[in-house]
Amino acid sequence: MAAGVGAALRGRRPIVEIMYSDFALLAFDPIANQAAMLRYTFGGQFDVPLVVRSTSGARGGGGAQHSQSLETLFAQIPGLEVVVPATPNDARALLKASAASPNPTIFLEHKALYTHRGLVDNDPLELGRACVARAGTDSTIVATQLLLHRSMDAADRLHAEDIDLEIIDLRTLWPLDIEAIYGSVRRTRRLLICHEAPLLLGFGAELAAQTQQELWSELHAPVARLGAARVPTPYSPPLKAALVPSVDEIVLTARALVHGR
Amino acid sequence: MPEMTYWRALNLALHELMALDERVFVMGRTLRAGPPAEESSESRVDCETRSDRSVSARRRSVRRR
Repeated sequence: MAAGVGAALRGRRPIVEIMYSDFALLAFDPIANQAAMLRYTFGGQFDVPLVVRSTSGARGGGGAQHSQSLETLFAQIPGLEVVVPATPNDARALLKASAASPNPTIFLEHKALYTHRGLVDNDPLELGRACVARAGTDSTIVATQLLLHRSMDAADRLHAEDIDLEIIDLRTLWPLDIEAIYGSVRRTRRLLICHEAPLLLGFGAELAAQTQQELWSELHAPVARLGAARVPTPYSPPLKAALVPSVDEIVLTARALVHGR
Repeated sequence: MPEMTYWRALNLALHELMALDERVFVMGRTLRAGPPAEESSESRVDCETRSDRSVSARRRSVRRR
């Protein structure tokens, strides 16, 4: 990792792969103390166009040391950009955008999405632009990666009950497109945030706080959140399945949010 | 607009980046050496990166001498 930081300082554009983001903690000094800080500490003399590409999330029986969702941890380091693509099109376009960025970028690929298929175009994407993955009127769901797909499934099920959900794919945690969330919530008046990172102190808490502070008088209900429990990821598949928010949980939470229960 | 897997889209992006900008290089071992073919995550295999290949070529050259 340190060699990658050095190469970036010398004008190269390294893409450093760490197979599991859990292992990135071994390289946290070059990531968090060097790459993230050097532009600031040297008064803007250097760009650090480094991409750290790594896998994230629980899949199969990865167990506690191969399944963590550390996106919130990375997003709290000033100087780092954090990218969380959910679709093949976003994976391709956002990896290219990450490589073009002058800043160090943590690019997290969800293991459970590698076999997910989708249409891919040639349009470039910018970092920091969320997208509306599904338009709706009754409540907004903000989700990333695997939870985006589970939210889409939940929306399909609730559509049969005449509940119309709008789903926003955040795409990047930093830069944060908070205006996309505000714009959607101004229409739907409700917000549910779903992520695989631990619920406690997760990025959903930040989004909920900012949204309630900005749109308090426009909300029909308190912002709801779903995330993993703050426990090590179990090896056991049934226990692991219970850890990550399911489609059923999203359906129940969104339904209660819309019906005011 | 082709349909492909998330994994293939990532490999495609890496090849496009390296083809368009010689400053881009990969440190790691999951970049496929050739053009990306359809594949699943189960078929994820190690292979040489561009840097690995140049190192291997240098080693072969030294051995021949």
